[in-house]
Amino acid sequence: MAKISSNQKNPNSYNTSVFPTWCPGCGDFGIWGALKQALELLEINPDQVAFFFGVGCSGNISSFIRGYGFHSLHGRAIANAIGAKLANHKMPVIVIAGDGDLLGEGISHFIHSARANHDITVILHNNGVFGLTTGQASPTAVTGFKSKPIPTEITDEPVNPCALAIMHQAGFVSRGFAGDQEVLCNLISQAIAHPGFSLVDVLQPCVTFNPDKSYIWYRQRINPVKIPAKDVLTGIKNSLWTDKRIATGIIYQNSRDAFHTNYPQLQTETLLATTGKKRNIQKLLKGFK
Amino acid sequence: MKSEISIKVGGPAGAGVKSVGQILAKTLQRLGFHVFEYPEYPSLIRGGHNTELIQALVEKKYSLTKPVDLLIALDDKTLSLDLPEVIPGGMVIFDSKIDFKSNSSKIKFLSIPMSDIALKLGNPLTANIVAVGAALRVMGSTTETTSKLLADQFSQKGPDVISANIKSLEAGWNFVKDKSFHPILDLISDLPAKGRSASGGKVSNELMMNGNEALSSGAISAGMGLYTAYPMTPSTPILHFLAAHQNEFGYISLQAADEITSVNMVIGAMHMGVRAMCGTSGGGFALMNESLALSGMTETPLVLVLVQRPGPATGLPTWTEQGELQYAVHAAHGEFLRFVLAPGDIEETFQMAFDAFNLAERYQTPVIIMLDKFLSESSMSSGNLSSIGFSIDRGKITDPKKLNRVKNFQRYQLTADGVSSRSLPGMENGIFCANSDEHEYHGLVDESSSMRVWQVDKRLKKMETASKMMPGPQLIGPKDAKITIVTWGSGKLPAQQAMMTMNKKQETGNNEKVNLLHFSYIWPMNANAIREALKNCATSTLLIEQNATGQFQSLLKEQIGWEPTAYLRKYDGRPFYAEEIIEKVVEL
Ligand SMILES: Cc1ncc(C[n+]2csc(CCOP(=O)(O)OP(=O)(O)O)c2C)c(N)n1
Ligand code: SF4
Ligand SMILES: [Mg+2]
Repeated sequence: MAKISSNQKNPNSYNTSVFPTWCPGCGDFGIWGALKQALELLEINPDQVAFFFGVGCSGNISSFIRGYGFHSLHGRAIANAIGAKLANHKMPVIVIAGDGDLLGEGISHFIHSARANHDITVILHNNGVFGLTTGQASPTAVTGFKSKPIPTEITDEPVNPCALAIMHQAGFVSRGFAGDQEVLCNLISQAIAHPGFSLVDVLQPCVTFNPDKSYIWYRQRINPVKIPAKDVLTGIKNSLWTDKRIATGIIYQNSRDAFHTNYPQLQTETLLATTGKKRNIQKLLKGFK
Repeated sequence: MKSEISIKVGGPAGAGVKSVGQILAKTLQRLGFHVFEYPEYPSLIRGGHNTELIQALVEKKYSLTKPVDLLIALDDKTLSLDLPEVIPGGMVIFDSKIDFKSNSSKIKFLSIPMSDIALKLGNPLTANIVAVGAALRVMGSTTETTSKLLADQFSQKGPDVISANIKSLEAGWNFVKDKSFHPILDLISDLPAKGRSASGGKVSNELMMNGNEALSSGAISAGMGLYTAYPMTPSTPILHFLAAHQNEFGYISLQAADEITSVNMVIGAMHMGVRAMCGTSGGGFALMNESLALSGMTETPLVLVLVQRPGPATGLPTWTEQGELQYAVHAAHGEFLRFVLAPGDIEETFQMAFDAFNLAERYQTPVIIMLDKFLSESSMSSGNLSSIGFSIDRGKITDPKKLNRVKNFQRYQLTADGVSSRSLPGMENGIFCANSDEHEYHGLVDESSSMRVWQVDKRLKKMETASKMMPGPQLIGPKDAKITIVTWGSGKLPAQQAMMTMNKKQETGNNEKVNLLHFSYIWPMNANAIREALKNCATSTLLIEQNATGQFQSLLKEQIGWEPTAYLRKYDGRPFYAEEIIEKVVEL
């Protein structure tokens, strides 16, 4: 049986006793590696981080990475995460989920948390498919994609999560590639360090259900941006895919205050520090006389 | 002379009907009466027909009765719609701008230029306050208590607002005084004297509070850290109230993007160790259903307030019903423990906000508090809640010091009562995964047959533990009654009013004695305690509930195998009036 912590040689290791169950060659391995590296780099111990996982191949990372985890419903991890951040804003909060999860079932949470600039990091496994449910088109599937439910080529335009986040002035919007772990680790660590909503849209090859978008296909197109855009229009423009070019790196960044900093209640203490103690409401009740 | 008074105020939305109701209700309370105030309004912002029914009694006033002694009409609709409720000997005061001539000799009519007086004073928006002044004079009261009340209520808004309102109040009062005929309502003359006799000359220590306010106050007192909601009548006032007091108490109240966000924020916050609550009505509750199961599966506490209104779908947004009991008991997929609490009055509502947090944390599972529009928006005199003594129980949250000694913390360990200890994110050595997938002791996915059975049994063990400690129903009233009225949730209010009236008649030798069996801890059911309590019922029983299909009745039949002699159901969106219950009891 799986055990998280007992026989760990290194208490700060991010591995659990379960080895990932992803398909050999899946891009999720690269994201998994980069994330663990980033947390080590930032010297965040596993018990000092709160993960919120979506449901999908991506969300299955919940059993492969050590830390305080919450494996949510399909689509809802962001909603749990923003509540958690308000509850204990001193703790890093990281959401890990797929494109179907974050941009299909959960797209409203994605937009609203970006525009509120909640201080969470969202790592989006963008593979263009519903992996776990065996290869249906996801909201980021490109036009022409074929799948069992839609055997003819799809005609919908894909959702572009970076453009969406930039349009709503999320604090930090980046795109990485699962096949380039070093660069991805760097992006993820900067995203976690950013005080505000941070997105890492990860181009993630699904070797089983989306073989056309292979490592080579991405390598031929990725094109690192040099400096993050500060204005929305440039950011959106840079985030768009063309036939030949997909921008990676930090595409857009701003210095908006994180959502929770607007609350005077949180200036000195966390809600966690003050909750669960009986309050005196004498004065409040006087108002009812 | 009567020892009670019933006043109805009517007018279009936006005319200040609500303020008239509140001011009169609080004035009467300060004068020493027990007061019940009930608002009715359609789902629109301007126009329509809003009313406030304010009923005050020298004894405890539990709920509504039908007759109206004094009708205050701010528009013509009130005169056509509400006039039939005024009893012979009663009185109507109406704004002179309404073109109205009466030919009734049994009811006194008094035309008062409310709008004109307010306009002349330079405050056209205070026509309703002129009406309050006139009503006070008609009832034989001075303006003293009310002026003081206005000063208290508008203290934030400054002296100009206060003096403008008091001027209008006095102008209304003086207008009636200067009238040549004697305009005192015979039924209720010398109100202050009655109030004094009611309170024994003391200033009332009671609170004038509605269910939403009692619930909010209870949650604040219970150390709530976060409240989230998406506006939906009749739960919206909770959001407004809690938002207004957040800085003072240090919790956060916020409007979530939708109900699914709301409930999941609460689950996220609870996972981190913060007491959190969300509130909604039926439609929003439907959206939250999948997340109830998330709370059940991950064993994360959740407190959810469900303020019912008549459905299905948008239904009657601003009216009342108890139509979601079976839904709350069964909502969401899979099998897990949830608590359903349905308080029956203000004290119970306050107490159950406390209970809800304790139960959610003790059993690490969702708790649904069910109110309805009638209880949540009716204000009534209630005991001083601050004297209710509760203690906070956060359940099995592990002590971080103990965690250091544990080598292999198992969040989902099997235990005798089904409840395992919970670490909070950030605690050293307490790592686990709260997993919506079936999981093993640490929360990692486990689909094995044996672990599945163990974990299902563990979660259901909590149901067994919980049902044994659930309080049974309360028997209220005389033990030797001939008829027992059975109620759940807000049904307690009209049933108590009916019981009080009937048992008073009994003193005069008219009727059979009546008592009440009231359920507020609804689910899980403590079958033993309920069977025991049912044994103490009278031979004739009447189950009343505000829905068409008898949801509580079928739940009792299914779980306990018990059925009442008769039932009374109402589902027109209006609350029970005591008379309706009395009529049914007399038939038995
Ligand atoms: C409410 C709900 N609807 C549908 C599902 C089934 N489901 C599980 S994973 C998934 C799609 C996963 O796709 P994605 O989020 O892109 O993750 P990936 O597997 O590609 O990493 C679906 C539809 C579910 N678990 N819950
Ligand atoms: S199906 Fe695709 S996304 Fe899922 S594990 Fe296999 S390769 Fe990865
Ligand atoms: Mg996907």
